[in-house]
Amino acid sequence: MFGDFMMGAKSRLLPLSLPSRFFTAAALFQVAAWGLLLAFADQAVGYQGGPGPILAALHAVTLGVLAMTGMGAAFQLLPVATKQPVRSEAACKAVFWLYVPGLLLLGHGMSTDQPWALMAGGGLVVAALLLFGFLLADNTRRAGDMRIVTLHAWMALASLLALLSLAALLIWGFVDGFSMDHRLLGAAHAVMAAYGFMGMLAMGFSFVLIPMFCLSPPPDVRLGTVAAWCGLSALLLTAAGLLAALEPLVLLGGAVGLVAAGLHLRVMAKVMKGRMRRKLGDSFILIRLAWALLPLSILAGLATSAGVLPERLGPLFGFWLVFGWLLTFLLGVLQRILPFLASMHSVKPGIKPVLVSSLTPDRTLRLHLIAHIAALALVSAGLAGQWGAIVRLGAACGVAAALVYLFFVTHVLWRLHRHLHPPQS
Amino acid sequence: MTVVTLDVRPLLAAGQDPLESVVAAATPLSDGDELVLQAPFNPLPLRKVLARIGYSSAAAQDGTGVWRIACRRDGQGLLSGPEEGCAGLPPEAPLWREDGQLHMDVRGLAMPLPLRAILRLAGSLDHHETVIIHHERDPLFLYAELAELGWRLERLDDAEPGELRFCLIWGH
Repeated sequence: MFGDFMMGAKSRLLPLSLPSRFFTAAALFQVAAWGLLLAFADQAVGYQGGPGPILAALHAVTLGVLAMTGMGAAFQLLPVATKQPVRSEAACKAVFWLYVPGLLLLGHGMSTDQPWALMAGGGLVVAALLLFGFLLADNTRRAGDMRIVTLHAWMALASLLALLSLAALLIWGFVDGFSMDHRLLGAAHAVMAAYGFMGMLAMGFSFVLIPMFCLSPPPDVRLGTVAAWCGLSALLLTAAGLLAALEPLVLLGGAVGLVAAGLHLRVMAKVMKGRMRRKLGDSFILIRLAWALLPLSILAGLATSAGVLPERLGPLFGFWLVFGWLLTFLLGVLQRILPFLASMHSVKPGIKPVLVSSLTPDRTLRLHLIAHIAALALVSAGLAGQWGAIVRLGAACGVAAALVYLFFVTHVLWRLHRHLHPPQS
Repeated sequence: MTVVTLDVRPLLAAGQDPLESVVAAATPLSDGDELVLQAPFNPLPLRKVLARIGYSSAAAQDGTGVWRIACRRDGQGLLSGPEEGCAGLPPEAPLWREDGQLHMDVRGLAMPLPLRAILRLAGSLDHHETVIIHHERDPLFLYAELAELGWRLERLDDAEPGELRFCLIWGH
């Protein structure tokens, strides 16, 4: 009886070992990111960019958690959405094995300001991201439908190329030095990475995942398309303004970005309103919190650009953008996706599939929710008040949340392993 | 006003098409009389047949999940009820019975409407019922959701070109 059940589906999925290595590595990098913030909390207060452990912590989240998960999810879910298989499993594995050592080297180079590590790590990370970009472009190019998802994917890819070029310039600047303002270059790189590459991926996947989680009617594609083009315009205006040191252009870009975020959130609100599933669980508390922090991060960025309390709002901008909007959104989504994927992979002839509900440890996830929200609140308060001790306390909550989340990931994978390989009695 | 109630659930459970019984019950109705059908889902195709012969109908689901369809012969053939039509399903997902077998066609629907339509259908079916699902893609997101409700999909080989056909069955 079980032979046919979900077997067709399973044949369309990549082996679980492929996405799970990305998800597990991302969970480990999250612990590292909060750990770095805990260890160097005082340096986070008033942080305005530049090498050091805070830069390494930021990249542990952006590259280690967000991009890592984005790649794992894209390899697994994009072929489902576009009905096109991934070109090569070996290439997906190569991405991982280029990326992880590169990331470790890059993090070491950033925290200790070692040029060789920056160059070598940066090179490996760029190679991995370019290979990922090629695979993503290949899949997106062959997609016949899901235009709103592919539009966001193309914009994410364009942002990826821009951010990698800016990253190469930054590393070159750190190693050899050149006259351009590193802070503005770094800000343009950050905007392209966080709002461009990762933000566009997050917003694109939202058009598939959020309606699926909520069982809602299809999202408003027309409004979503306007939001996406507004977002791209905002990225271009802001990056151009930063690179040319034209403050009005940066402010205009931020304002357009705010409109784009508002339109995207309007689409999501309509999706939520028409949903069939009423109880959405703790994961949607995180997702809603992330949605609230998206426009807040832009407002903080705008205020910083306008010179309003830059020593307080500058660090808050980076924290709300990376830990608030992107990381929190991703954690909320992954809490739903991981048990679901594990259930999909649990099919084995003659064995009842493992249910999603049995892979969702509610108490663990509630603990994670509390610790993560406490971390966001305390670090925000610490950065706003310039209190290193409060930032440290918040980072400790973040470490606790990240460890609980790591337990959740390993729990799901362990349950799946035990299901597929039951102990011989 | 006379109200005639017809519970079509036993007929559906026996795999019989209730159309003949419904038409037989509706035919003697006078203007102002009402025929109330009780069904496990909103039988939109049947209501459309009644509409063509001049019966208006209004559908509503009670707290126990049973659908009550109030039909009146007024010559207008109007349909009213939940905005999404058949068993709360999008109107674009036709549900019909053919040779005693229930079918649903979700081809051409934007995601996640097929997921939503099939889950709603599963939630309104008796456990002995099976439904042939006409799909255009392997519904990867659906399998785990159906398993959670106690249903499963089995792939059928007799699909048309460009179609994936499944049987929705109760039990793991």
